[in-house]
Amino acid sequence: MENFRVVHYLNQFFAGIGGEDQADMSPAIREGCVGPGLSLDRLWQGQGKIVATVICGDNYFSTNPEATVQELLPLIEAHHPDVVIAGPAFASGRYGLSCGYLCRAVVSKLRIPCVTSMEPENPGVQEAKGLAYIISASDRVARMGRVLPKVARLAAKLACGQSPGAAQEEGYLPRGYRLNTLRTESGAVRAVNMLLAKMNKHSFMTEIPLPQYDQVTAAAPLETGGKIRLALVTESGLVPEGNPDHLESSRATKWLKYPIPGEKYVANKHYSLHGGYDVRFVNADPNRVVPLDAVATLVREGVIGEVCQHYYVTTGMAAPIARATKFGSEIAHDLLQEGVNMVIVTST
Amino acid sequence: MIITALPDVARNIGTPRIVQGVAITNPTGDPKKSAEGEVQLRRDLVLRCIRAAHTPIENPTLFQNE
Repeated sequence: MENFRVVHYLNQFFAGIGGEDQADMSPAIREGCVGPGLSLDRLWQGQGKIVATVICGDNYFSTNPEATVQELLPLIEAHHPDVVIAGPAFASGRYGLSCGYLCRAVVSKLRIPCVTSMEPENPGVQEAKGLAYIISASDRVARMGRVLPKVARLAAKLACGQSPGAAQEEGYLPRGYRLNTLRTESGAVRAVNMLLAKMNKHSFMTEIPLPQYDQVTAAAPLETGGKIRLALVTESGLVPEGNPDHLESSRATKWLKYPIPGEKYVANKHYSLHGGYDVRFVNADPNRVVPLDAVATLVREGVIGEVCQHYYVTTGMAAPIARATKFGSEIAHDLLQEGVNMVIVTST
Repeated sequence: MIITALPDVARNIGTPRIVQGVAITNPTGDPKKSAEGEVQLRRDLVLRCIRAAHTPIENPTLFQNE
């Protein structure tokens, strides 16, 4: 295996620059490796080397992906990497999105192979899918030690022009390509074996996994001139002071329903406990995440007929899709009982 | 509908009616504006949501400023 050059992308946190307070940081570049890059360099034992690390804030990137990619591509290209590595991002949605956007651009515009890593449910997977190799990771950063060797191994193969093995073997998420292989048993035999296993409650592996997201049918529009009965729902983790029902900061196990505090939210009476964004601005004025003051004004003016006297809240950080879907169904059921015909959901 | 600063995520998972929020940390606010400015901004966002609620749609749709 010959020597190869790598450029590594990190967010502001893994680059050691700061946390949420630095999430608006614009792109920067450092020579050599930074943070987790040091472990990657060691794993290659001199065969490969991170020649530069590009860094950007999670908010800066995820809210302006096209422009940010235009800023980053020349920085990467100037170092002539054989492969680009982004992350690992684990469960971090914005970081995962940034890695996804970057990998998509590097592969399609610079024609350089990319390896990234994140949790399979990370929204970044949709951005990079089919183009980059995404090593599947669990949610926890503590698994860095397990993920990096797989990233290093795959990146080395790609950098040296070798064909990677199948998804299961190398640890990356299936990329949506089907390669023909020869099986000893016919499809009919394999299908019947799967059915027998399923009926006997034994495990089996499907050959065609179905996509995860459901098709959502849009609600019919409201009638013009009809009465609007509006409810406010949020995943921002906005709770009354004292968090009386112990809503979690992440991986919420519940959704809650609290009385709206009259015509607007007031700082200190409600606050956000969400672990996934900088809550300073919302805590200074909670109407910045649930627009109650505007809704109350529009009720007074007769534009909105009435507002539901409760708002609904959970914490949308690292929420497994199945659980979030269940919360959505339950909240929807409750909203129908309340006679609501319009809902505004605010998301962070 | 949803007010979010990341409309692409909402679109990818099939959310039908999407309104662009201001920022991740303050989807319905803007600390750089005056208090009156923020109140007006929120009013405009809610009115846009009301317009979206009255609009028939087939596929995920981002409702922009008029």
